[in-house]
Amino acid sequence: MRLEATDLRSGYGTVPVLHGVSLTVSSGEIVALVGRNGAGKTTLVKTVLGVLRSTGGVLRLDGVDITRMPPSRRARAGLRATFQERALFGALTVGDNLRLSGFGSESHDRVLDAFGPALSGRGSQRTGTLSGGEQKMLAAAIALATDASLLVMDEPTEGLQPSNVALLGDHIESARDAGRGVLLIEQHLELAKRLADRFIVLEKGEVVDSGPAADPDLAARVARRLLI
Amino acid sequence: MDALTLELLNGVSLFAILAIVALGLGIVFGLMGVINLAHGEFVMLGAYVAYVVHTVGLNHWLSVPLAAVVLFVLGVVIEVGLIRRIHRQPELTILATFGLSVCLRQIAELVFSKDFQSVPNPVPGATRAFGVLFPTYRYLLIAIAAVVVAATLLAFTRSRFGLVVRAIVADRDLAESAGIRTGMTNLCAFGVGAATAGIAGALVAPLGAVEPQAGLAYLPGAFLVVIVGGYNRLWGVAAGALVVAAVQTGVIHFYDAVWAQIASLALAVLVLQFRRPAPAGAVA
Amino acid sequence: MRTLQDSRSRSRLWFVASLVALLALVAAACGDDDDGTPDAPSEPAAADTGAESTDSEEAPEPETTEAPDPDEPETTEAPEPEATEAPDEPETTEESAEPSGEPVRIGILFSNSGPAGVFGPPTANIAELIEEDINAAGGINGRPVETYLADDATDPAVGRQAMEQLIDSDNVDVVLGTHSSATRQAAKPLAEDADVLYIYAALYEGGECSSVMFNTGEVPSQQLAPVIPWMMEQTGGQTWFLLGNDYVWPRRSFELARQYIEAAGGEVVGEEYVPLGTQDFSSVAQIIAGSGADLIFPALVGGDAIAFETQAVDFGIGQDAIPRLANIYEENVLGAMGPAVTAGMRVTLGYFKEVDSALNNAFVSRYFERFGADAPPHMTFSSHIYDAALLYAAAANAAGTTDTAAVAAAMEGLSLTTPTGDISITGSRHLSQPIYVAEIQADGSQLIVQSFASVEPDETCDPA
Repeated sequence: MRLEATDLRSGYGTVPVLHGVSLTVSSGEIVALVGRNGAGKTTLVKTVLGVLRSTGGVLRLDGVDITRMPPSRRARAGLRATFQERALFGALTVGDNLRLSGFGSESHDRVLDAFGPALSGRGSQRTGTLSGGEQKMLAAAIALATDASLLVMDEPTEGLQPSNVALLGDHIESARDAGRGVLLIEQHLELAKRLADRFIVLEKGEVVDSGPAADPDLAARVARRLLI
Repeated sequence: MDALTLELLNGVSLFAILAIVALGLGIVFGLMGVINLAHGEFVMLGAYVAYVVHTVGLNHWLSVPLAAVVLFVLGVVIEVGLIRRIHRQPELTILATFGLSVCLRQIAELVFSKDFQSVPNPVPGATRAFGVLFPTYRYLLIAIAAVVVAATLLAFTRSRFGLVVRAIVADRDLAESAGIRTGMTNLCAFGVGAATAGIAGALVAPLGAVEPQAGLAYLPGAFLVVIVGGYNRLWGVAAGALVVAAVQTGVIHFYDAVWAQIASLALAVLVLQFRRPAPAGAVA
Repeated sequence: MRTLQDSRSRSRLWFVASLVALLALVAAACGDDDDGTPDAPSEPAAADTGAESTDSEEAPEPETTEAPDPDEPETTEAPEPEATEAPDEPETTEESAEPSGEPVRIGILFSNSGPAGVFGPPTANIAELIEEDINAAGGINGRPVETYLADDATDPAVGRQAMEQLIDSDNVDVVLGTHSSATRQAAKPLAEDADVLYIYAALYEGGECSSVMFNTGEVPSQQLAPVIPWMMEQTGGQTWFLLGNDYVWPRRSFELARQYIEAAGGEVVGEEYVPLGTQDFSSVAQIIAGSGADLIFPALVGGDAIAFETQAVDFGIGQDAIPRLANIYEENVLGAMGPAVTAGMRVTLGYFKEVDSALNNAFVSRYFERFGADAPPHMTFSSHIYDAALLYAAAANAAGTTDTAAVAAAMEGLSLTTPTGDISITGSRHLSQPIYVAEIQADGSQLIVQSFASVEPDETCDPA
């Protein structure tokens, strides 16, 4: 499975945000998308998922043009996201959120136990009453437990306790090892360095830098860009 | 005591009529955020189904499922042809469904003429129960409306479909991203909304005039119910109908029908004042 | 996700705009097709009829000028009795051969759509007969007449535009109106400003007075003063329940009804008003049942009337239990209620097609021959429009001009005999006219059981 964006453009109303972004994410790799606030990372996620309509460029999934596909068809084709905000249906129960992502009640415990005891047995709780970190974990657990072959995760560790950050990192790595592709938007540079195979740096809606994570120069440049 | 019993029965029958008439409007608004100004015309067409059933000599009760089917099909056609293209822009849906209402009225006029028609009461007369005489047809209407409203609301709240609906109401984009085909759900919801309007029309047909303009009279009551009941919870339709029926019946009893109308409108204004603006699911 | 909507809205705006426009077009087209008469006010209703009558003149003799429609010569024998109508018109008839020259334009402002649209079709039919009959009798001052129809859609704002259309674009010499009082109030200033004669011919609450207006419809004093005591005598009932829609006409009707009831020794035991468009009468029915009234006077219109009467039966307060005297129930509404509900009801109006006079019988059979047996029945609204046209023609002929002031002067005191009966314009600019009471029969037909000749309206008007 290979996600390929070519010269992707989008924005809000008449205000363009992405000015032609090209990137690829393939099976079995983790691509870290980094950039400062307002660089267009979340806009890119929304455009890739299809909840924000692109104003130019092409999106392909395994060579199939999905630029005009509704989000639900992209999801069914194997593209799955955890959004930074409103990643879950807060008004519904935890169990309902699982059901909506296609998990029968027999598999609920398996998903909820992915992060240890924190979420275990809380299927009937209203999702909005979980803590921010718990919601993050639940959203990530759901996405990871689906059979989606390409995951787009927008700030999945925001607000998580360090122990859970590490746990999530492990889960993401094992997803990669299982042959899934991951586009990871991550502020946590240390975690991104640990997980990513490649880096893409976004600035003002454009890709300004990219390369293998192993390249120490790139790591230095990324650190500088994010600090300034 | 008898007077009170009768007034209670009046209130219940008004509640049943209001609930069944408003049900489809509440579904379509609550789920799709579409303000369907043609809802009254759907009710009117349901009444004409009852009229046609009567004209060809069939049993009136047959018109209830038949109106549901006819209006479901019409609803699906309208959703595909019109609503689906614009449902994300509330102002446009208002314009488009207004145009649709005018067109449906004219079509009804073309097919049936603008003459008043009527559907005879299949069970004339009154039944003695609870110590009072109350029209038999209204007992049946209450029963059928209760079953239809309850079944529809249960289907929307208790089933997988209902879960999907609530998810869409809560966050359409998130639902889409989770792989839920909101378009298909909208289609079903609009069709079901139209079908319940058809049932409402067939049920109320023997209680009044069947005419192309009749929908105009149904719409305000339905809106009142949806406003009072709240549009982000489907049970709000039942709650709204209950409150409006109680206010109407009470005020007519103690004052008169004109004050009853003023009171229900005032109630709607009050409810709007105290409700949080723009519920997330209903508009976004 | 508002922004998503925004970005999409522009690209879709054109689509929706054109869709709405298309719908509106279809709607307009439906409206035009619906009734064979022109909805568009600018269309001369019968330009060809005028031309045809030029061919078919025959003779100035009143009998033969009762122009057979050239298309259907076999109808010639039918309208025979109507010849009696011609001599009733002013003497000017004799001097005129076929009318020629610039036509006199008669505008008709009526409700052909909206809630009162159901009354439109008979009026549209009558417009054809107005042209035909006035032209056959020599026209107005030797000029042919043309009618121009304008629909107020039962909406005063539309009515004002329709009036504007008649006056400014169609250049009518007179407007005959049958529509709501609300439309009259909206349209009247235009007639006054343009100094165009405006004959309001619908039954209404009374009280109108303007230098350009005559009001020839029934007013409550005419419909009620003679009929209420008669009704009490017929039924032996003493106590009344008054149930009306909540607007000026029912309220004025009930105000007067109360006086006549009390003068006749009766009593009003309940007076209720319901908003227009009321569909559930259960609570009202209970109030009526509890009032102990002997008689009900329902001043309800359209669908409200049908809803009340059909529901009333099941609540045990149908006509069979408490007799009705109605002042607006007409055939369409009564037909929809059905004879099981209506049998025995009495209705008081200034015209029924069942009026039994040679003139009316011939007119009504001609109407149905012309427009088909299942045509929307001729009724009090269309009849009053017909009478208003004849009154105008007679007055303009007497005045020898279509000048508004001169015709208005000639209108006062003018008397005619029409299918309605003997009518004459009163000093109050209303109409002294017959009032009929019809009783609905078991088969749904209307039988006139009582008539009152030349009932004077209790109105005053001095527009000077």
